[in-house]
Amino acid sequence: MTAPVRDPGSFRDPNAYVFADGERIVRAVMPAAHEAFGDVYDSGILGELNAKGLMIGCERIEDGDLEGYTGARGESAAALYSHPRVPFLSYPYEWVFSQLKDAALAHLDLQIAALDKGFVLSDATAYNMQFIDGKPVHIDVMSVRRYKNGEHWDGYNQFCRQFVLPLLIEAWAGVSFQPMYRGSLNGISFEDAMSILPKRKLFTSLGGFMHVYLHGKAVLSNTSSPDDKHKATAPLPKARYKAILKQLRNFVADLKSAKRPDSYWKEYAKKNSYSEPMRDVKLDFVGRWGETFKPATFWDIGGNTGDFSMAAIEKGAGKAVILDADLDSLEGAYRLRTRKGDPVLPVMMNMNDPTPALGWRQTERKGLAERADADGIIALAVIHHMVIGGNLPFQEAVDWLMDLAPCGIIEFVPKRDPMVKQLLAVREDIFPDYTTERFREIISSRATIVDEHEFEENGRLLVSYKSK
Amino acid sequence: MSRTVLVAAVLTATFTTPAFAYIDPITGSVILQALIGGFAAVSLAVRQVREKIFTALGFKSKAVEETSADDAAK
Repeated sequence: MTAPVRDPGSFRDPNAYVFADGERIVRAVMPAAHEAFGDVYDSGILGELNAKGLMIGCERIEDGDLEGYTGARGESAAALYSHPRVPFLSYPYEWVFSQLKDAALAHLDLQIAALDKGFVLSDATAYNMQFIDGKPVHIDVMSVRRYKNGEHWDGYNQFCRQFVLPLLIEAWAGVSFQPMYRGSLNGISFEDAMSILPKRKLFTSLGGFMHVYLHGKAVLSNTSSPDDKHKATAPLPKARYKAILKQLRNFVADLKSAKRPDSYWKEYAKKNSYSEPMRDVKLDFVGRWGETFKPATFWDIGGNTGDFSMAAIEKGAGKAVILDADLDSLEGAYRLRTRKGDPVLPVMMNMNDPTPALGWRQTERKGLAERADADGIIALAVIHHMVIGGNLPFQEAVDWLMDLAPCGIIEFVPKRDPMVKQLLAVREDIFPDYTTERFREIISSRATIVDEHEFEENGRLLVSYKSK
Repeated sequence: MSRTVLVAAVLTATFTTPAFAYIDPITGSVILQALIGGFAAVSLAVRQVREKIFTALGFKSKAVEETSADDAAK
């Protein structure tokens, strides 16, 4: 038996550490938290929250072998618990507005349900929310603990920085939160948010006034009075604790992105349901691929609203992760597909600048490459954006795509295609090797071409391959 | 106008204490919760009353949040 390997990103919480064990995750509870967490588990609260779809399912590993489950500080585990592995880890800076909003609401619902039963969460980090089967679910069972009479909400500041402020800068200022969020793992700072958000909103919205203005002023204040310690330890009535959660829930539920009105999304599916004459051929091609390879999970790179993902899924493929840099497309995919139960997860990702590993020793948040465990990929009409739009070496770009999974489809878009002509219209053509022949050569050098189709209209080439 | 007066009063009471020392940012967040909790409870109660009035008048309204008035009254 191989020794358990601790997730390198699991080190902050000395009460428990995360170990990967195939398709399950093992949470090794350390002696300091053994009794308290055992009490939480025995109370049945985790099962209740799981039944509501708010918390991942958790099982105690009875008589588990504790050997090798050593914490980041050298501690030895006292007990083991397990829960299913999240199929694809995604992070808040990779979500669109509606995903972050749904995650925020689920987090608050979880806290309200837990508080009603006498439990609270020890933190409010957005990274503990993950999309499983299209729904935001809390995955850190160790965050649940007994409510202590009069205690404050420890996660209030964290919740505001990681949920409320990012949502507000898009809802009230029309600014995309993802780049700022990616640059600051702890979430958007009050200082930045208060500079970006319209002052008018901070004084005409009760939520804005309380959770941003007053809260921000309190957080940013460098002044203190001698009795601050007393104020900080003065008990907070449970009713007020719950009122904050419920008022925040109402506040967040009413937020809408300032970028697009809701009516835009109602028409969005129609706008994208017809376009190119080649569309049906492409859908059939992708469907055949899904039927042939039946990948349990696949990445749809540049997947737009997921129409081609669904073509593969309808023919036998499992779940898709839609990776795209266009926020409108992803918002459309989430609203029109994920929320309606289609097995697709939209993730914001610019292929020319994929999410890097971040945090302490670059282990806390995984980069895209570390999450590459798909059974297949489809990359339709993205290669020209990488090579011509992004100046990536042609062979490297194709190799990179093919390294992601053992089989897939890549669509080559030649220079005579109008989209490529547009890209080259105002720049010098420094891409002599960007040809259909070279594309076939690169694919053939490392894979077997299973199926292909070349469109007469514009020379686009669809290639389905299987790595050698 | 009344809102502006309220804002000024709250800020005066909250932020004009004499400088003493660096305060942990989280402490500010914790201290504020009693005040925000009070505001939140009142706003939930108002919202619930408003929903009830709307419902009584036959307007379509959002689901009434349960227990908020009870909580606010505590």
